[in-house]
Amino acid sequence: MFANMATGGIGASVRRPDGPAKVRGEFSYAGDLTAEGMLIGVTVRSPHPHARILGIDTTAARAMDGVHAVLTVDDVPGDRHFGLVLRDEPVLADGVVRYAGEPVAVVAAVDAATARRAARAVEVTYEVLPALTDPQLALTAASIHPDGNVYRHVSYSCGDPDARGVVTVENTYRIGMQDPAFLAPEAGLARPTPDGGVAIEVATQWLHSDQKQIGWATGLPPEKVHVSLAGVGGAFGGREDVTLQTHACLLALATGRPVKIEYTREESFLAHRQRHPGTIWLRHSADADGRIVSVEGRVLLDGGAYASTSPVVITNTVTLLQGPYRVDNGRFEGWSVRTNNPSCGAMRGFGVPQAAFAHEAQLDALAAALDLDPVEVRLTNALQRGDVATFGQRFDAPTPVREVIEGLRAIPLPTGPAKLPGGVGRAAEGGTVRRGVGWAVTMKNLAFSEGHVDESTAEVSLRDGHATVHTACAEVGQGFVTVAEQVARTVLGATTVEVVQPDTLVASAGSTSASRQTMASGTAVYRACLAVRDRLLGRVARAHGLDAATLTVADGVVCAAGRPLGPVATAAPGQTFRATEHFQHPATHPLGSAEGGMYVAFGFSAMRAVVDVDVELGLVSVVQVASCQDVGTVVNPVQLRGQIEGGIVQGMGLALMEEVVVADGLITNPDFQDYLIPTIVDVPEVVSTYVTDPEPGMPHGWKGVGEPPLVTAVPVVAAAVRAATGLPLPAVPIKPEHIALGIGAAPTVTWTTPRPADPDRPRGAVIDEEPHDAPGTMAEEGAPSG
Amino acid sequence: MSAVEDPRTDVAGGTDGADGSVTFGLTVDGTAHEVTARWDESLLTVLRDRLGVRGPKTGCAHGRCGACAVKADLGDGGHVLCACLVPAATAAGGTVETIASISGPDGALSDVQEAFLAEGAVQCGICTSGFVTAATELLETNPDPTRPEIEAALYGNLCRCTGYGRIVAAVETAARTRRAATR
Amino acid sequence: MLLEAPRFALPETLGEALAARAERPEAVVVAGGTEVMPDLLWRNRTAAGFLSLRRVAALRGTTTDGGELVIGAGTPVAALTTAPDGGLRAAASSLGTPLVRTEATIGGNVVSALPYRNLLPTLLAGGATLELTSATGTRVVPFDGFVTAPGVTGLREGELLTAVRMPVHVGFADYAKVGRRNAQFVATVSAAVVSRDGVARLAFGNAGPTPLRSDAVDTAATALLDGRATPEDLRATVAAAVDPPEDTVASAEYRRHALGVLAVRLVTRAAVDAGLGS
Repeated sequence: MFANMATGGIGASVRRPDGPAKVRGEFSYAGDLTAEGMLIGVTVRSPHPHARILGIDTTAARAMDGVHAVLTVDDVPGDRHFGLVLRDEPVLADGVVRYAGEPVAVVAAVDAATARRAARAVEVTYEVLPALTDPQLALTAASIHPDGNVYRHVSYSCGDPDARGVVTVENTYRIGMQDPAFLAPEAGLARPTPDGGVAIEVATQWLHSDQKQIGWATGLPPEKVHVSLAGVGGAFGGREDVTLQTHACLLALATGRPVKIEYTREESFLAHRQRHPGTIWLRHSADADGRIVSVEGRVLLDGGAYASTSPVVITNTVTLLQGPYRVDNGRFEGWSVRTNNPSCGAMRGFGVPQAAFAHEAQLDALAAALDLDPVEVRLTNALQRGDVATFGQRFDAPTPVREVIEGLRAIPLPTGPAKLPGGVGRAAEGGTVRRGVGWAVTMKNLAFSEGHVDESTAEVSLRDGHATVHTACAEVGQGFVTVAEQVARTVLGATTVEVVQPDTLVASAGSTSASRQTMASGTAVYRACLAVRDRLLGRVARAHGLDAATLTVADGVVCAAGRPLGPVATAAPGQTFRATEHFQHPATHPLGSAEGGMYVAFGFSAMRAVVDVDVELGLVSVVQVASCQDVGTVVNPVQLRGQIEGGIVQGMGLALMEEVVVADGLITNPDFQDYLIPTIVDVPEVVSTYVTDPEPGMPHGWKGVGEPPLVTAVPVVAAAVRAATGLPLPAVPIKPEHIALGIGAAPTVTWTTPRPADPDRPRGAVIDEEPHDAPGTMAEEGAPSG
Repeated sequence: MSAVEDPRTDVAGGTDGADGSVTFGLTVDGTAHEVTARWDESLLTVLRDRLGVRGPKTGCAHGRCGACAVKADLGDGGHVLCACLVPAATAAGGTVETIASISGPDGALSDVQEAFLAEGAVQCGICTSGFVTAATELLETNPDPTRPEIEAALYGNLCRCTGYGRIVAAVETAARTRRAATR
Repeated sequence: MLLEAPRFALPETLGEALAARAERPEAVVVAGGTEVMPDLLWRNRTAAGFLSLRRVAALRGTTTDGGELVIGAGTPVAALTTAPDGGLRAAASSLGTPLVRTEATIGGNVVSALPYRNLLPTLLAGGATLELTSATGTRVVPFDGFVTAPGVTGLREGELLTAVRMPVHVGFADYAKVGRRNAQFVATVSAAVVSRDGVARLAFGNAGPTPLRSDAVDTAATALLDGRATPEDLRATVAAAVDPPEDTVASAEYRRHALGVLAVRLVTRAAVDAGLGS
């Protein structure tokens, strides 16, 4: 992958190095993989959300021509369980199935047709059990897993939660289950290696997590499990958990042949993790001027059958219920629970879109109750640098909440014709359409949290102006390959840069999630480039008899005291300079820890949405979304805009149309006819502006940007639809009938006698109870958080 | 759940064997092939798995995402369609042009491809060959499309990364470039 | 025959197609494939073989015969997006996606016979008839009544739908549908109107197990058209006439409500077109 010869450093809209192959259709994705002698693996899945397995008869399947292996849990040589945070999920069902679609057996055969026939020939005898599908009942129902039904319970308070202003508003909000719906279904190709190990090329977000979990199941040490990244067609959190990785490796080891598994779209819905659906109750109390006096919140997230990241997501949701507002007094509690519904885990935003939808609805309800301008209420309460969060952390980096709100105000409202609600269906009439304008402001934590190590490593080399960058950072479409190239150009003055395909030959980069890779892997690359540059300059200094301290690299030229000496490309002919550098964020700490904060950094975002609503039919057209986001230093303007626009549209999808509908534990819409993501007709004009306060501790002041746009888009679209309709709309996705039939309860407004906070109550988080079920086996590398 | 077992079209009825196969000619990107496939295989399966033509992508395999868009002439002049929806054998004797047939002069990038790169219309890229194929077709029939016309022509292609804004910009840029070049 | 295999037939002429139909009663007739292929993938449908009409040139294209458009059953929906009938144009233009419409055919839309299929309300409101052809001849039947249950039609063994005949209306015809997205969506509900000489005729999609119309609705619609009734009257009549499904996409209550709204809006458009409304 070679880039143009143009300068293309940090701050430039450098084109993606993988772009030419992608526009030619020549880029190789995981689904394009093939190998000589390759077998095809197919998964036998449970049709039941909850059942006991009385028997599995693989005799007929094994006897079929062309079938090379049929594996069940008894064929798993290593640990039968895996998982990102808790090791509670069987590699293949172990006596019980706990969700519809759970893998029960895997088959490898000479081709897909044979493998699918063999999969159908595997006879599984089930004793169907009652399915636990109500997360509220999960709190008290009999355990459906030896580890219990509660993944994590968090409960804390700060200040005096019983303090009151003149008014309280409270409501219960509901968020539906969103699917990452990346467009390339899961795929990977595993091969046995001559040393008795296994190698897999796979579309993933986290190579070393896959490596570790494959190692558990196969019983192989890490050095015998080689994971490399295959072309990834989108991820959005949905590839953070292991799906087919272990199965493909087990089949390759069992057959001695390369084995490819590629899911269908339906399997993809069944197999990967969705965004947690949840219910959030919030009560805000405020003074007459809109200043928040106290906030109380409770959250219940349905984690589905296995833990995945449920123990981490719940903390994000609960702690960020305060939003980007100063809240001195509060009480917060939440549970993520196990049910027989599909397992939920990471998806872009990682628990925060749920919180944001609820707290922003509350801010609008507060403004309405007090007859105040909703923007002014947000400005009144905006967090500032130096404030302390409800969870005890001081905001000691730029906290430009006011700035992102003010930045938005400068953007003019749209004029001119807009697309009619209902689009190509031609149902709407101009005269039936009402316009609404809504605002939302959010805070998203960036990088891993609560003590989970957030780190990356980069190996960089330079020879005759050509740089090679090697990390384990998964490129999933976001453009890290471009960022790495830009860093190498700026720091090293490289004329060409090759970003090597990530693999486990280099140390872990952590997951491509949590808006973290520019900060973690970008910084590792930056440090390695600095080290390589210093080696180059040392060599040049010796060759010219100069003091290395006077040498710099600028625009591809080595300079001595600012005077050009010559191009980097010819500074040391034939010499290769190498360096490997590691980066790790300062440690974070669990909620309630006295030692320090939970989170590495925060990103703030404000949006204003303009929608047109056909109120009679409940149809919506999102006309414009204006955004002002705290982005640190802009690394690549075009890629930044891509993250903002893409995130907004995913958030708008959750607000208006996207929901995995689960009935009695079964997904009723596991396809793209019935699971709707926005089309090109659905999307608004996006106006994107930025606040560019450099992030402390980061090279050039860059920071993560990928998640805040989605987080803010959910509440802002909902707010605009509320403004157009006058309806409370406490649930997303907002369905046409919610609007047309006025479904959804309004907030309860109560006028109260002011009760000042008890000054003796401590600021900062006080854990009210010990976590009911603390995360057990923490992955040594750290579980992800977003 | 409609089918946990996943009866892909290539296995409906489990019809391997002599009576389930069909042999026909198909020209793909200028190369003539004799294809033997099962009777119910899609054109997409034949292209990708039998002929190794990997430009058309598998996104949904049920006609909703457009990642498999190709230009095909089934004896009626040719148009862009979803290869996953076409029973391959109905294309017997026909021609298919995939993304591999799209390029500028001397193998350079076409104006549409160039614009997709310049405008940032590519992220993960799994939808890109379908979008480039559909956008190229649009500009051949409508060299100066309005934004609503671009949207009307491309709503059969889904993108999950970009939010479409850069894609619309790319098509507008390509149209401008093409008009300038032919002026 | 362009291609003939035990489980696949690709005729080029209608004669070949009818012969193949008689020889292969178990084969699934496939035109564009846009319904059949997802059916095989998603709805667990199995097929014993395909009889493809995709290459029968005689089935493709539209002619005029007296006062009727004669639309070959194999005519792609894309070709109908410029049809002289406003209802057909609107229904065709919102069917599937541009990439689907090039292959989807009017015949496939009719024979697949699900109540939400795009073209069906337009054909019902427009008084379309169907040419059903077998080796022994052609019969012409009204579309009204052809669909007897979801996915079930009056097509007899050995018959093929060969053409759809649509009266050319000099009046107003339109179609609208409601979904949960602004493009590429299955109709939650849909409606079509035809009005001519002061008489309105409505038909509905996903308002019951089959495409639905009723004399009472048309009477109320006509009354609204000439100002003898109110929109509320029509909505009440529609609400009483329809029996929409309840599912995870929408409640029956919403569908009933939206059908009434669509009915009023389409009749109002017809009134405006006729210079009767504001």
